[in-house]
Amino acid sequence: MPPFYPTHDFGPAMKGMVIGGLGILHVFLAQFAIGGGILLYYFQWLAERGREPDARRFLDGFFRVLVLVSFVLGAVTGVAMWLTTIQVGPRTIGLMVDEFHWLWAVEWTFFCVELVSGYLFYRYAARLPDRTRRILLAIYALAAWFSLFWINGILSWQLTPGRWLEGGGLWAGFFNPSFWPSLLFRTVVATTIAALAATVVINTMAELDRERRRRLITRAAHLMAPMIAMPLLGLWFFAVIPADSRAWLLGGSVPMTMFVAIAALASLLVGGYAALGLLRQKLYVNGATATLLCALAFGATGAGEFVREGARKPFTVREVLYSNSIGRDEVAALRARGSVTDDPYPLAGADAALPPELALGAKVFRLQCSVCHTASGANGLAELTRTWTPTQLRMNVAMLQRTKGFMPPFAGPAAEVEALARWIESLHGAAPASDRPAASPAELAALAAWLDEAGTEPAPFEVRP
Amino acid sequence: MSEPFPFGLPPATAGYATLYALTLFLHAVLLSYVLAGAGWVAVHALGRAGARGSAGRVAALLVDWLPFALGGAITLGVAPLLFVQILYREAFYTSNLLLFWRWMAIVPALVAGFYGLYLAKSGRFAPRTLARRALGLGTFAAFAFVAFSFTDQHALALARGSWVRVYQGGPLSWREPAVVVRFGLWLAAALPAMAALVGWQLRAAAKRQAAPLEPREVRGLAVAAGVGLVLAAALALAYRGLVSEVEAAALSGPLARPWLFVAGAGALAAGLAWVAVGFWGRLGRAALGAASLGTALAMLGVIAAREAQRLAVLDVDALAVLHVRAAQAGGLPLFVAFLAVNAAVIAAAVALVRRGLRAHAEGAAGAPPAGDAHQ
Repeated sequence: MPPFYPTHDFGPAMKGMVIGGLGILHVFLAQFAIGGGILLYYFQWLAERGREPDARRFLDGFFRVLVLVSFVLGAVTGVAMWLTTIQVGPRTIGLMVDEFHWLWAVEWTFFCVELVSGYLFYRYAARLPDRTRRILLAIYALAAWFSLFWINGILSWQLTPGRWLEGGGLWAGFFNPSFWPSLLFRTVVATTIAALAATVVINTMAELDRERRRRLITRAAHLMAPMIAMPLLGLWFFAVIPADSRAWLLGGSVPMTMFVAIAALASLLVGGYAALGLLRQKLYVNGATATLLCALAFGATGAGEFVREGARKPFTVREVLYSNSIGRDEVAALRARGSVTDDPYPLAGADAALPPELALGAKVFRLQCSVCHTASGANGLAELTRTWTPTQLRMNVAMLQRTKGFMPPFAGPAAEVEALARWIESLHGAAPASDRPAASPAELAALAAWLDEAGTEPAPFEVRP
Repeated sequence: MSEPFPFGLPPATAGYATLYALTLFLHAVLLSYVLAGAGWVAVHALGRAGARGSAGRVAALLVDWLPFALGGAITLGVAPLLFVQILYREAFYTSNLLLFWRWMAIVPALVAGFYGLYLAKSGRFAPRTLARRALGLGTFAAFAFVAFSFTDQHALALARGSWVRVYQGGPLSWREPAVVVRFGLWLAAALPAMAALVGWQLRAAAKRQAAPLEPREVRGLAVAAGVGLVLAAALALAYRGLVSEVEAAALSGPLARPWLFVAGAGALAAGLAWVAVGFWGRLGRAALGAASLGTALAMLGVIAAREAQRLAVLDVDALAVLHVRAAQAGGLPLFVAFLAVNAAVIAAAVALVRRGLRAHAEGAAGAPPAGDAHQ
């Protein structure tokens, strides 16, 4: 059996919220850095060809922002992502490292190129000839984009492992079905974010009059033109993801559908403004509007990342590892042995004083549920189950993957179902477990029958959403 | 295991451990520069010298380069962070998890320290002001906290017997006196590494500016390096007395002993080189080269011995099975190819910039501009 890791209570916050919040910030900053490289190269080219007299002035100012925001926050949040992923799902990150460590190491070599070329530009650009500046920026932009290339393969593999599941190996997993639409979509997002950030920076250039700023903004907006491909890329992405994920995102789950809608609507607003205001030059974008557009882009990124994470459920690596870090091939053994029988970590804090049967339930919650649920905070079990009858509660837990298609199967024996049910009932203020008789053999047999009926596999594709 | 690290290990384990040790070495070089450099800047800000004097020139150089060095340290830290997960997954993840918020606090500390460096570089605060002093101290404290946290986390990873107790007691219940000594050892050892790197930078700056180095400047650096080496040696001996019997046996066993000899010889060579530098008051190429090489050997030796100590308390046979499985994942040739290609790209970019700067300098001096298609 795999090792047990200590699990923490994040209080009223769902663990997914913690990693999601940080992830969204990191993705936004990373995409800003990637698009920023392309934007800078474009402005250097404009300056070199004499097509935009203020291009060089903007470029030097923008690069300072890129360094201060992206080099610092981007780099540190990147490390933080790794550490947070360990906090939330050590087995998930372990599996990803096992499969893709050499590609991660390749990505690292591009990080090094990005850092050196970026810093050389930051430090010496003012004293370098145009051609050298352009080459440096080309190296920087390519290295930044390639870092996206590598990480995109690893992240998209989590949702669509494709032929990797059939033993296709590393490259089958890396160039998985959602690799290209995801990569292209992210590239468009990156150039858009960079262009929006550029409009903010341009508005701070008080030394330029409005007309000169408008000209620069129009130039920056050229990088938003690829947004026209976003709907097609989005459709491509939806076409290649698993049918149950697609159904879930497109109406099967109202919150997920809302996030899809938020991402689409925010992108549409940004794109519409870009088309009408910037490219057709019907509107002037002042600092406040530019900041608002950036915030919209941040919202779209956040919603998009939420969708990407949520679409994998009940898995964290599709068909292999469930969200609660229990392997698909481990459920049957845990049903027989008990999911927490070998867990060496006792309950901590207030839970340490729980009576034995509730303690067992609390341990089962900690292992199997706590990655997505809290006791009574965000996505709290207390509220989700408040109206269920005792029988309904037990059946729903025992047949978890049938209760909701995006839930994993319950990975324990009947006694753990009963213990978890009693622990949940204690959240509702039920009588203490010690005052109630233990479950009878007949009751446990009924639970076992439900467990058997549900089986140890995830819900079939057609019923998952 | 009767051979020196990593030769006595199973092949897959040896391969990953070697990569880990080498990438950790690169990370540690820049980390030392940041840690000791931030300390130097903080001490200088607290002192009365202001921006004058030998310490001022070194401090100014450090303030200028520390942001890049930190960016480099973080970037170079990605590779060992990757390989340590393959090598020691359960122990590494468990100590991460057990320390929880106490461990995750390194993220805001790093952000604060990073911006502190840029703020110092911006020159916003005048020398000898309270703000400058607070900035110097705060920045150093942030990096010291991060470095301490890594040492702490490493020690907890090896203390399997304490895991359940720490889980029950919470992150603050983990207190291990040996960690403080071990952290002190790293902190002291950072000084000679920083001094060697700054030495090369000072030489280059003196040559570029045609302003010879003053003996006082050079001696300041030599004293710092010497103090660091002596302190590190003393703390290493103290640490040896604090570790468990198993770890002590590992440190004196065949896996670690040759490396500790290398570390000792390197430290001695570095020490002698710095004595010569201090005595003559000159930062000669040979002396600085010897100091750098000695320091590098000392760091490599300590890193290898550190792994031998870690392997002594972990189940190597069980880990080796996981390493063999991980080694079956494809992509190694691609990594080697990109490592070579991207190293060449970095070298080419540096050469390109040097050529550009030379052309700029010649142009500024009135010489005909160097040939550039667009100039």
